[in-house]
Amino acid sequence: MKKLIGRLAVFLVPIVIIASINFIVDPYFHYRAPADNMRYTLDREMYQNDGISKNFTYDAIIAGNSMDENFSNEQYDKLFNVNSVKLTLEGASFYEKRKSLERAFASGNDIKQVTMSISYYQTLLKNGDKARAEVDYPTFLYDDNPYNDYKYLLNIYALDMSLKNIYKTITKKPSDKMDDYGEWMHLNTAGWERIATEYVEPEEVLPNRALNSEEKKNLEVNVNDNIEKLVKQHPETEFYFYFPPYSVLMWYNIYSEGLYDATFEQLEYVTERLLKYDNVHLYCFGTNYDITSDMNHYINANHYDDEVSGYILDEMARDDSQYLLTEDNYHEIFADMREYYINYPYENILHRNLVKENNQ
Amino acid sequence: MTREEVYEELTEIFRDVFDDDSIEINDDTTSEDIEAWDSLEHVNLMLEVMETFEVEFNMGEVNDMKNVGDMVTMILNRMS
Amino acid sequence: MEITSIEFLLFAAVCIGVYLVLPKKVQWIFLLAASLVFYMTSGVGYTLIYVIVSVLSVYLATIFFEKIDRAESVKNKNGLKKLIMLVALLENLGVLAVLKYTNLGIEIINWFSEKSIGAYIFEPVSYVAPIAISYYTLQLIAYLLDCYWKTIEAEKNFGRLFLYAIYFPQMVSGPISRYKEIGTQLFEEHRFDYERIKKGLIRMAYGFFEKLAVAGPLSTIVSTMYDNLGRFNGVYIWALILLFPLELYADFKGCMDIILGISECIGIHLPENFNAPFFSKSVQEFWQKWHMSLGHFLRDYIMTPILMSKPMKKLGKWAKEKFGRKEGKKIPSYFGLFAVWTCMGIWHGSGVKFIIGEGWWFFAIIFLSEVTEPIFKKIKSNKKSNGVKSVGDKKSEDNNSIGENKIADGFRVIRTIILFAIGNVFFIAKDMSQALQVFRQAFDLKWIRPQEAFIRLQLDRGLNHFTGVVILILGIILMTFFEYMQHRGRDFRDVLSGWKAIPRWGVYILMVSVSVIYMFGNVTTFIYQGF
Repeated sequence: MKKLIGRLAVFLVPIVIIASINFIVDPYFHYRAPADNMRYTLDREMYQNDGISKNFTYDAIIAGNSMDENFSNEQYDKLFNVNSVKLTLEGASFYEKRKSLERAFASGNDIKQVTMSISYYQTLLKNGDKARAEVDYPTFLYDDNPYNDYKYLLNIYALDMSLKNIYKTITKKPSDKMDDYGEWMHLNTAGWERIATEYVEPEEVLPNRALNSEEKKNLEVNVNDNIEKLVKQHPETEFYFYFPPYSVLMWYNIYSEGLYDATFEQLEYVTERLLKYDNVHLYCFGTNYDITSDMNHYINANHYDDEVSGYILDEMARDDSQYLLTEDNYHEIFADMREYYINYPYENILHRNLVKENNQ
Repeated sequence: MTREEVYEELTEIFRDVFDDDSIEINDDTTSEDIEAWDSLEHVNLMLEVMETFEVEFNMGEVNDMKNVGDMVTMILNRMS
Repeated sequence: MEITSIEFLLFAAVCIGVYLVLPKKVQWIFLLAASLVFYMTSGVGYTLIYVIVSVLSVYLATIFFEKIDRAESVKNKNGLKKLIMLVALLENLGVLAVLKYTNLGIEIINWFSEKSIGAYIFEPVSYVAPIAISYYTLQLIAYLLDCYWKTIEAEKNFGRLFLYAIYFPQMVSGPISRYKEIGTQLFEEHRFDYERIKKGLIRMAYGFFEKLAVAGPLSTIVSTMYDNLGRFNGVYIWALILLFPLELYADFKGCMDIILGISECIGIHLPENFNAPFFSKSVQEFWQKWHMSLGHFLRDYIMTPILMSKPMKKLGKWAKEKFGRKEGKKIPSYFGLFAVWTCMGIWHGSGVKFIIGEGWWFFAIIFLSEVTEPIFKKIKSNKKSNGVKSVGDKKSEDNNSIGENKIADGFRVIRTIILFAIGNVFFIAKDMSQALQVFRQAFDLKWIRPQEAFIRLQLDRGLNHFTGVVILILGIILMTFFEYMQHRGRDFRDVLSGWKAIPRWGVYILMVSVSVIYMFGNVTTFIYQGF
């Protein structure tokens, strides 16, 4: 029996070594900001965002989901004269986004501005009070409990990044840039060929419907609790929100799912609530029909390329952007969009035009 | 019947079922020793044995019987 | 409990530790209690009632068999026993059929209704089935029939029979044991023995390694490809077709190694399920080495009874007269084989795709090879009489022929693997239409650059994971080596014992450390939705 225990104790050695490596290198910045001479990798949003928000020094945040991941911090910093980090998370719910920003505000950094997209397809109607269910959330990184950190210190993905960072440091390769963090355009080429591998043309139209009570509740919670509250609590921070430019294909899908009117209902609700605040700048890019009708800018129905992302940042930095929503103009702007997307000649790019057929 | 006589008949059956005139069997022979002796052929073998010796085995005994020595003993028991 | 979780590992460790110090009388009772705890925490608690009913029906039936035999006043003993046996059998099969296979019935009915009236009649249901129902049901049926055929004596103690049914290591994925094999072991005394515990632990470590370091990463790759099937074709699809069986094996075998390792520590040796199946030279041989406990069950309780039945005997006689002895006796075996393979398909899942992919596909291969065997034999014997030594001739002593043998055998092994992989496309694909899509795209030869394919695999997006890939490759090499040793009849632990201390401990440390850091590794599924 003693023999067995003695033998088993041997296995503690490699385990302690691995934990030490992860602790010292700290690839997820859970304990401290990266040391000056230590190179780092930026690759895993769900694991690294919290560390970045806690331990990096910055005064601006690019938050949001995959709509925002392609933003260039370099361009952003130049345009707004700030020092920004990216805290985007693919597929994030508004609840997740709020939690993430709350922790950033609590980090001690003086945050001058926050930029974030407001997706208006499905996202506002779900998960008002929780994170996405399908994903394993590494809660042990998002709390301040050191006892569950063994899940980080004895984690193969963390070890992999530690080894990568050590390798980069030794070979003097540069650290990853915030620009490339979460960026996905280098993995894709925009255009129909790419879109076709994923896009499925809808075959029937569901009747135009109103939001049900669950969706209405989520909409309220998402806007009131997950967006407005932050705006209210931080009057000294400028919030730059925007409705991203979905392509005509996306609008076609929205129509066929019976959510056309409901979508504009959401847009109006969000706008009405947010425009009340002085520290909010709200933009809508859905009226740039040159972009939204040109599928060469998209990799699927709603994901646009980095050229468009760059354009969005340029516009937000202007004092006089045509896309800035105000109390006076937003009704007109949404009415214009409504008109355009329902009359778009979809038969030019698809096999049928269900919108036309449905209205005959 | 004596054990030797059973062996004589049984050897014929083995050679016939497994299509090999050179097969020799003894008490320790099992399916490992004869390549063609798989589960399918095993049942065919048992059916031949039951017909030739006019004995009955039940399912469990058919499944269980894996070496020739056991087989011969059971045949002799059943015949008496 | 997930078998590769900390909770399960702790549970098993505590069970083993406590078990080995308990007095003999209480040991099996403790196992029963532990198994009940495991059962209640792994599945939905109330489903235990199904197990109790099944065990009870078999218990009572087997007790009655012996009572009837002893009773003098009973007239039609065989008839009565048969009736009781059928009742217990139907109870077990019936519960299994309803809880697991209702959807299969619905799928078939809907298929017909769609063809005739253009609509589905039924919606698929989802019943909560007791965990391991497919395993313990078969074990109980085996026990019932063994008692009925008088191969074993009935177990008089209900608790003991219950333990046989729900012994917790077997409640994950089998193996399907016979009462003869483990009936005595379960109730014997077991004590701490360094060698046995050591072997058990090494086996467990290897099992964790297989599941976590090999099966896990492979499953990420396979499922990503199946979710984005439209973006892969040609050689990548073929890689996918071949990777899934590897994943399946690492997962299943890993599970078995953990289970058998735990049981070995306890002191109970469970039957093996695998014997280096990927070195088989034919599909027939493959299935004698893959999931052996299930194969043996089907052989002993489906195949043999069918072949021994009166209708089959009659058919055999008729066939022998018509086609001659050699060919004739094969006819009934085809029916038996068909029944076995249909059951094999059904066992794997409640869906037509399983019957086809895990059943009839392999039946067809074996059937065809049996039917064409005489033709090939003729060809070979013609070659022989022409003085040319035929490839694969067992009795050849010529060195050249041995070389040819090895190459021919190599081809046979590869062919077997490919045939197995093709059948399993139906197993892993979502449904029939996706399975067919796989084969369509396998022959789409439009070339995609490897870098592009790599990107489509989203390996660049946070799943990019060099350490994992290195460990995966090491793991595959290690597994292949151990499998080959197994093929040569050597247990991998004996092989390791023969090594020098440093490489041996290197392997142990690799297996344990890798398993530990994977156990805590959160695998985030990157759903490419991004809203």
